[in-house]
Amino acid sequence: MSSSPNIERLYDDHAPALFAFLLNLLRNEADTYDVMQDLFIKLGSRPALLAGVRDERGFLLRLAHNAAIDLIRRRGARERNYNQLAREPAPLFAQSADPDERVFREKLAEALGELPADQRAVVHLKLWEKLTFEAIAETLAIPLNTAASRYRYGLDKLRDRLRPLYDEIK
Amino acid sequence: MNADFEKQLQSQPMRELPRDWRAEILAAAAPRPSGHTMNGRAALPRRPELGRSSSFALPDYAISGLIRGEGSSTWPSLRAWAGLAAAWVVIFLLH
Repeated sequence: MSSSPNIERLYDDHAPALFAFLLNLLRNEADTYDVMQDLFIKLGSRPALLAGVRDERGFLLRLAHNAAIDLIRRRGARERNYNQLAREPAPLFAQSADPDERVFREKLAEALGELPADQRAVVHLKLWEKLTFEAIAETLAIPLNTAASRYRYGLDKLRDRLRPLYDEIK
Repeated sequence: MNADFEKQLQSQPMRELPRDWRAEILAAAAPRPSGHTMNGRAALPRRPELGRSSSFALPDYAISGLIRGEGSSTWPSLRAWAGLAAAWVVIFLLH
């Protein structure tokens, strides 16, 4: 059975951004796939969800964020139960032929993984979605000041962690 | 320093979305006739081979179905519970 043209357009317009955001939050490709699939199933079965939505990308990022946080909570409980914390995280950045770039990206992915999920979400939306703090606050349903402070704390941690490498390749 | 550092981070491209996901996800999102699947989800392709976080856990749909009280098709069946109840009735009567 074929999907509706609107779902296909939504996928083509927003799936790459949703994938990067979810992969950064979840650090697991299978979980990212499942959340994306659930999201598009929801959109396919309830087209009215998007009726009256002005900012499609923001709306979809919010749905993805809520689903990811829900999964992280459930996964946290499972991992405590089954002691499966030592998983290999999925690669987050594109491969680079330049060895310095490659190391920087690996360390950046590690450093992002050490941020709390709420800071990581804000940092991702600000840096890679280039959203304003107002848009981030609306997407994540948090106050504007909280979005700004989470970004500042997150960026400070990344800078401290990556400073030696950054100074080297600058 | 801050602005330079932010630019350096922004210039790192994220991994691309796997191309084969498009067909799979859009096929799953296509409208289905009612009654075609359990809770609209059971027949959907999942990707456990990608390193799911727990191989021991119940599938998410089963957990959410149980929480909503819809787990009769994924958990011990109605027939099993009825049998257990009948056994207790027999034991009680014999006693």
